[in-house]
Amino acid sequence: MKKKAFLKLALASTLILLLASACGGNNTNNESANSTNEPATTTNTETDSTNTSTDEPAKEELPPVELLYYIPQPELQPDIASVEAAVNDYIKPKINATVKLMSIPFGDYDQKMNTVVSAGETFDMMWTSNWAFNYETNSLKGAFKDLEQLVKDYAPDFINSLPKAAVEGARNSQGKLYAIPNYQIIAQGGGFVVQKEMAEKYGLDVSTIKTYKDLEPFLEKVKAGEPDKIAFGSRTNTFVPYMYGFDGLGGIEYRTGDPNYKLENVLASPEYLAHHQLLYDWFKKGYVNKDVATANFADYQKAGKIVSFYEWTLKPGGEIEMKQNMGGKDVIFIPLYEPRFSGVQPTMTAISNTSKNPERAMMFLNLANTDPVLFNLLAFGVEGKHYDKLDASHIKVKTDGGYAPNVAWAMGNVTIGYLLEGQADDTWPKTIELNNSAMVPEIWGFQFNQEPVKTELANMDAVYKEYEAAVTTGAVDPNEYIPKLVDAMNKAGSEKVLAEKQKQLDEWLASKGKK
Amino acid sequence: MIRTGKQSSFVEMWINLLFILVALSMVVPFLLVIAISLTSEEAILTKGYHLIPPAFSTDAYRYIFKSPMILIQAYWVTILTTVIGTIASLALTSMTAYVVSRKDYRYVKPTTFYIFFTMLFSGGLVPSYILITQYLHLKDTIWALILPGMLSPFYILIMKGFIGEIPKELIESSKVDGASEWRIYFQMILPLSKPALATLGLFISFNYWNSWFPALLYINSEKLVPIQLLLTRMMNTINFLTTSAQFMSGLSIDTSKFPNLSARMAMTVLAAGPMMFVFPFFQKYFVKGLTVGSLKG
Repeated sequence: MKKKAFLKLALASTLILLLASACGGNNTNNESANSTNEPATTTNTETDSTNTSTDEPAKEELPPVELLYYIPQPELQPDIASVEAAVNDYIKPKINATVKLMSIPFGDYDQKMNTVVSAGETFDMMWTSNWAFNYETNSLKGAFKDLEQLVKDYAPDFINSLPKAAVEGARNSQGKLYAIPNYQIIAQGGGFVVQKEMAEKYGLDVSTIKTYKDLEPFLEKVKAGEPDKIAFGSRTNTFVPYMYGFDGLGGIEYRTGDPNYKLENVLASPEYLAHHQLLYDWFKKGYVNKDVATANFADYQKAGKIVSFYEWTLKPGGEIEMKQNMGGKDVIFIPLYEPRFSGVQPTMTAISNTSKNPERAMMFLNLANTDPVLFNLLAFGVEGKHYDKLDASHIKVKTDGGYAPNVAWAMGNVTIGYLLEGQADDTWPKTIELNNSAMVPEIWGFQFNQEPVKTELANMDAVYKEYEAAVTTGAVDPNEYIPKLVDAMNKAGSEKVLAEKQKQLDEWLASKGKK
Repeated sequence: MIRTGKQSSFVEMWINLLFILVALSMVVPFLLVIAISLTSEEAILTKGYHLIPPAFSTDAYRYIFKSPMILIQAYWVTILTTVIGTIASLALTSMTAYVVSRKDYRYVKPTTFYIFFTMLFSGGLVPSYILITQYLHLKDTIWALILPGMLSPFYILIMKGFIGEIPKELIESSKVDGASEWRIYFQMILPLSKPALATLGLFISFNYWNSWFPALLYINSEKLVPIQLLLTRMMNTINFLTTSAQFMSGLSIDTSKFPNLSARMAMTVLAAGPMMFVFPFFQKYFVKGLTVGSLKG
């Protein structure tokens, strides 16, 4: 018996020992992490660029705090520590706070943030959107702090500088403001992107292109003259209802000018069929690559093989960015419809409900959106180390500098930041002008609450995914497959969802006195 | 094997053929991955995938080894977790299994049930996350990669089955000779369960080598990213960004920065490679362990 007790004891003590060593490892690790942060590398932030923030609530009596900030990046950046150090040196005297940047690759962002939020972890700020780490769902779950008052107190100038519709669009379906927009282009005007060289070679007259059909003669010539290129790079979901006489918001469409705002299932509309018949026709004629349903568009694009394609948003000055993605080929943009207000939800920043210092977080966000020095630090890193200045407003990012996330749009107000090499000087004024002049849909501000039809939506999503790649690229005969798709969607509950949308829209319209 | 004429050699042929096909279906995809990683990007896009590269190129590997530090760091993390994890896990598994296999231990039944119970019910993702980050404070440490997978109830039960077969007279006679419990465990039980240890060791090290999920959840520092997470991340992000293209059309992501197809395949080869060299060393024990150590029945 005695020996048995000893055995038990031994086992228990091994376990404890192991745990203890685990804790020890933890400590040393933290220490090393801190020490890497400490050697503040550089403080050469721009002093010559004008400091526009006028409302710095910098007061000495603020106790020092650390803000934890989750940001998505395409890849982890090896030298994020020196950016963090420079940011902290800059904001410490202003708001007596330091920030810890927690960067997460895009592919993991959803999963990781969902876990972090569900676990009720204490942190301060995070990026959110309508396509990754869903804003609407998480706002209903209670992940975010209501910002209404905080914005009024700590960022009034910034929020007032935005178009009214932008702030309106940042609200969730309950009309609450849970995130502030990372201001950038918020108008969507899609159109064709064509390789300049090819357009010139085959005499494409840009002014004649108004619809998909108009591009056909050009595609025919390209197909004949460039056998190893892809005349038209078909992509999924290029049916844009606004090109075909619909009005509304994404997923909530009615015929333009309909006084009853009767919502329609666009998948079942004749226009939808016609659009895909054309794509299928192009596919059969060989303008589109044969493996379009399975191939990775970006790979072909990068190889410079795609001569023309449809792009959902043509940005002012976007030709330069597009050139990078087109394997270095110059491109021209051909807009197909009037730019519409598309909303700010693709990129926003929220404050966590678990934050202990929401006021300070708001001050930080205010700075990130109004102070070019801070924004440029967050978006592009440290001058000389991560980018070189070409002139007062243009920079060239060093790809091997250790910090080149290239996602300025996730970090704050891009219109106060630097321009990339080659972008036109007036890119930002033009962007702002476009935002201000864009057509605001009549039912702007309406947010569909998905809660009542969650199951149906999930089913529909699954059904749609099944057909998406083949049908919407035009790789299969739409006459056969679109009825199948519509039928499957009906079975999944599309009618119930449409009725629910109509019901909510009618209520909203009534509350606005429009119906 | 007794050969009884024509018929059995006919059957034998079919069996051989079947297994050749099974083996091929496993080997060919991997050969294809290697071939793609050695094909030039241009050739992949124009000619598709081929087992024999139409245009040989080592660009993909050159691209990856351009910044070898990240890769070396990731390898180091993976190797460290695999080695520490496997050794610690084997020690704990065999000790636990030994204890519950001893018939003279009074609480065999409750203990076994306690172990078995965790096979049926687990805490789930969020509670585990809370435990690891908020109570054990393991976030961003290498222990977050090692501890969660350390003790698997399934392996304990396999090990128990194996140790249970060792005659208890052996233990008793050692006792009579005056051996302490420690000595019995280390000098009798462990050497006798070598095949089982080797088999489980192989499983466990595979698990550690291939694991990326704990790292995804608990690791923020780039210094602690294991190789599999590096790979998964690359794939996930590329996939994710291409499928969300429509939603983020207003946002710019420079897709030209992403590794191309052949580089992704090269990465796969580098991540899977070392394990394939480890495997043959274990094989001797592997077969024996599988037949002897696994659940009887």
